[in-house]
Amino acid sequence: MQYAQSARSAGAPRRKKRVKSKPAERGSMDLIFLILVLTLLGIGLIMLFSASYAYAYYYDGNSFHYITRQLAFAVVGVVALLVVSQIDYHILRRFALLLLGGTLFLLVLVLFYHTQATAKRWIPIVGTFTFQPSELAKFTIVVVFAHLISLNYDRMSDPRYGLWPFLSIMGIIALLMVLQPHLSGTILILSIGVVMMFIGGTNLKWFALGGLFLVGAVVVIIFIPDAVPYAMSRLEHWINPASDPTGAGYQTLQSLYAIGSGGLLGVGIGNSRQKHLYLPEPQNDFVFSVVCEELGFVGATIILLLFVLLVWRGFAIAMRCRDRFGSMLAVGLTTQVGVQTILNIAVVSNTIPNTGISLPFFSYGGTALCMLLAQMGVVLSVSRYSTVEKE
Amino acid sequence: MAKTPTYQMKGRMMVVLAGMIILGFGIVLHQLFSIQILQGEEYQQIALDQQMRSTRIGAKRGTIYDTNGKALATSADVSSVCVAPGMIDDDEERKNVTAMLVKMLGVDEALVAKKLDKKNSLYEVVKTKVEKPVTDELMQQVLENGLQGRIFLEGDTRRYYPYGNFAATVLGFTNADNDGAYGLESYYNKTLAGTPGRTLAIRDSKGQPMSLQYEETQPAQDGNSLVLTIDETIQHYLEKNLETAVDEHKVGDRTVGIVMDVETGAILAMSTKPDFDPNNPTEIIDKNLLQALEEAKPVITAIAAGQLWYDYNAATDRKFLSGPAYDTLIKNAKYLNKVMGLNTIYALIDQKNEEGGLTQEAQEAAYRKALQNAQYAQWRNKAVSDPYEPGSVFKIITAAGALESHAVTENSTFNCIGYIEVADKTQHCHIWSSQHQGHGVQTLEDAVRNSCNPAFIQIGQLMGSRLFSEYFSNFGLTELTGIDMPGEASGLYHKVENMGIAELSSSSFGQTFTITPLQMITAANAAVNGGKLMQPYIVKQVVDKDGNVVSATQPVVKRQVISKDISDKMQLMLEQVVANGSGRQAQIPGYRVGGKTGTSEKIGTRNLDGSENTKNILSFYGFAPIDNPKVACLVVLDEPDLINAYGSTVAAPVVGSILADVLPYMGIEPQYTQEQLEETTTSTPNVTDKDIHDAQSILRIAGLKYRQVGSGTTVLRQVPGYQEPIPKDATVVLYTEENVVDGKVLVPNVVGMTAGQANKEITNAGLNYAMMGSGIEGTSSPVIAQNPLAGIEVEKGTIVTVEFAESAPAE
Repeated sequence: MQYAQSARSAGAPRRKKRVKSKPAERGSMDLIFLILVLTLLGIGLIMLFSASYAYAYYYDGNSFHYITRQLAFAVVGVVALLVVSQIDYHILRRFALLLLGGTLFLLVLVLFYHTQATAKRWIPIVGTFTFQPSELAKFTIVVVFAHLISLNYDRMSDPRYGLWPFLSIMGIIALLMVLQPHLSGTILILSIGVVMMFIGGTNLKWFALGGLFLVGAVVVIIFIPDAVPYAMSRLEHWINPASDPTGAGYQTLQSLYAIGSGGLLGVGIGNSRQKHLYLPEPQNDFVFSVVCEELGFVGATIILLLFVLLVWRGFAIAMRCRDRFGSMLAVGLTTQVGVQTILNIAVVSNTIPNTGISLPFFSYGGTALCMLLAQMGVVLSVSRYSTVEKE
Repeated sequence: MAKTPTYQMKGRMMVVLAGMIILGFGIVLHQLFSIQILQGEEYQQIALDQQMRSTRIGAKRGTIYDTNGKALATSADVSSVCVAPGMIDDDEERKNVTAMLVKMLGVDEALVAKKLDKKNSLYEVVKTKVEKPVTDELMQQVLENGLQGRIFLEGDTRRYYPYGNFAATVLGFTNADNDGAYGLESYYNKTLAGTPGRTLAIRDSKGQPMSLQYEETQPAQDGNSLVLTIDETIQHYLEKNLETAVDEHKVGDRTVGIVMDVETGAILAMSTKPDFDPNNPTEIIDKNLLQALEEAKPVITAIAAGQLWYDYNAATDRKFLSGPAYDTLIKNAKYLNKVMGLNTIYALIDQKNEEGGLTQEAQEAAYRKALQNAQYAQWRNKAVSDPYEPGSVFKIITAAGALESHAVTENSTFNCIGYIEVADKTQHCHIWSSQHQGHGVQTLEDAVRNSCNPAFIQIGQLMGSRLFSEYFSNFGLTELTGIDMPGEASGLYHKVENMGIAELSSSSFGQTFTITPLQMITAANAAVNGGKLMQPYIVKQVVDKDGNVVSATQPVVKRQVISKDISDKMQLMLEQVVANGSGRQAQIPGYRVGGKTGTSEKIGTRNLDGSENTKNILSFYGFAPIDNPKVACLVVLDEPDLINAYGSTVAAPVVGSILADVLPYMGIEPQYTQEQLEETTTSTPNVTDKDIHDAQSILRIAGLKYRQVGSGTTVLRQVPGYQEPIPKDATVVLYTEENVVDGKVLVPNVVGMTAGQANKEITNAGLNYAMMGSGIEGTSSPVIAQNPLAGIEVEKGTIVTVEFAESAPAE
């Protein structure tokens, strides 16, 4: 076991025996991944500013309202990333249960103690600062699942080890999140969980069964519209957002106008017109609409490519990781970024029905950004133990 | 030692990675491609449609200038005050906005409340045409109270008529949208209005400009300006005299005056009085119309109350108004039919009977209709829109046509025995009623001078209906004059195939057909200007905003109607009318004036009680100078409140006064006869108790000037008094109001001065200068005495007689 090493700081002298026997065991972190993270963060901050200033000026009288806060969190987040990247990620195994307990506690707490009754997602902390337990839940599920998988890998095909524990944890967390309600977060957590179970070795037949169940659910929603309230109208607005252009379809339509206006090369950075109070919350879930309008299809493709590279690099780190826990951590955290990105862009482009989901590195949100960067720090920490080629 | 990931894990990782990239990123990328590249333009268009706001840039309306460049109608920037209820945060702010608008603009609180109730609106107009100082103060208040964006201004323009109630029926006016609604404003609306421009600008969803400045401007093309042939000074002379005439003779149906350039057909002045103030065209200022409205009110009430109804005689298919209110409201009504005709009254009675009464709304609607009729009546330009029977003025045309067609010659004679039989009916000459005899044997000139109807009946008959109709038509009386003004009407006349002896006879002295005053003056001008029928015009030039001439009107000769030779004869004949005939009161010393009087009955028009309208139309056409006519003036008084009045006594002095003002102004110098020059003093004629225009013509013919004090229409007192000796060219002060003093002055001391010095001193003091004794002009003999003495307070106009020493002062 390597727990002894986790207490060490990066610059601490290593035990000679380890150095000799495993020279690459604690290499430097994966620079490509770091550069990709920082590049996306940089572009994200610039685009956030571009997308938000008109909105900020109108509603807060200060064009820099969002960007200054986001910058502050970015600085904190990058520091967290660097610090976390130097910490041995194995320490997380110790905290896995604690993390799960704490997360469940906070998820219950937020149902009773929140800033907003219609969406009980934020626990007030100090002043305008809030904490979103769902953000923690995303991390928790990755850590707990990675722990369980590395612990029980050989027995994963057995549902007692490979299915029910995962389903229980996922089910409880998902249930608590649905109660908030936080549908998009739930979907994200389920996606991450399922991906980790799949990679972790759960028997494929369960996925087939789950798939059937999903198809059944969709059929139920379509043929018994009253079974799930609002689902049908949401679907309708998805298929034809113009049916209610000033109501439920407004956000989607405005987003499509923005994306469409971008064309191939975009209207130029800073020149989005849709961000001028047409697009609701352009600093948040719909920041990518502004990106598309200003940078065009070319710019959007480049940014998507950066995300793809990040995911690829994350998976590469996972594959070359020497232990399963680190591997699963990297896979889980990278998947989280990838899925969230895909879902966000799918929403703004009306590929899937509108559900509130933010874009990693781009959307405004302090907790989320700090958490994201810290998680990227964990991936970087994993990379130090993998055999990925270092430049 | 931890276990490394198995191949199965790595394999499944590859599957997830590939799935995520291909299914996840692939699908959204494909979707972006579809939105941005395939449907990009479509979405872009929709986005632009919602982002682009098109704003109208108003074009500045052109100015209307008089012939010398004085602005008669001009536009100035004003603002519309608007509110954006959608920007108002709370009730407190709503209260502030309301209070401010009510206080600053004097608008109705309920109106503001109604506008502010449209809570999502960002644009509600509260008041239009608000002028500069008010808007400045309002915006200051808006700033101080932090209400920017809630109350804002929108640019607009407003039309101003600096001279107010002046040339109103000619100029017309504009409506709230700055479009010409009447008069030249309407006729030349396209020219004046220009083309509005458009600004296409990007706006955020709240309608505010975005930080990025995208603006595409299509500039407005300002309207062109009109330079009229109207001369403000001449127009002023005309209007002053018409206004006096309206008051003097209590003219019932307005008075028309046209001053025209005889050679070119250019309108130098044109007016119908009373008219209106184009700055506020809906306000009724005609006293008769105001009275008519006052008469209409109780009629509506009486109908509603069942006090006025009509009886129907089925046998004759006629209706008769009846009821207790009939005598007081209908029989005594003086002007009611100007705003409410019989048919309207019948309809209102029908409505009352059908609906079992008249609601308050119905009564108000009936009154509004009457008010509207009054407005239309005062806006009407009678000079071009109201045909009338020209009466004897038309004899000019008959005489000219008869000469030109050789139906008669200068030497033809016509006998008048005081009446003439036409188609078994006796037509009396106007002389019959006073003298019970005829004019006797007259030449054509005599007949014109005497305005003898029997003679003209004979002349008409000598021409025959074919020739008469030919000249009637040649003089332009069967066609529109083609003047560049709206609403030109054509009259009714006998077509040649329907013209029997009776119609021919009455037509030849100007009755039983109608033409417009403009047609009359244009035709008469053709008779005296060498025979050319001109197309009258009122716009001399169209100029752009920089003053460049866009187009200029050239005088148009429609045709040669009579020869120059005949025209010359007409000039001399018409001079005799003024020199020795019915037009004497139009004489102006120093000028050879020609003209013709006209009196016509309004035959066939009836009053509301069914009685015949016995009112007359009195007119006079005058022109000068005789040998080279430059200017002509026609004045038509419709329904003066006089019985047995003639155009000679009423209209001629008005035209005389106008021409006496206009001729010197136009630079036509008086040319006195030797006799006139030698006569240096005269005796002051009596003009007390006379109408202003009579008094003026008497004084004018006596070679005196006059100045009116007070705004009455009858001379109450004159200074100097009757029969006081007065030097020619002196000014007689006419007092037309009691207790009005023109001011008293102290008689200056002129003893010791020369004649010239003394004259100047006395005249400057507002007094009249008269010489006594044998002082000879040109010598420097000093004044040795004066009366009244220096230092005495006397009324202005008083004669100061000065006495000179003998040529060689005795030692």
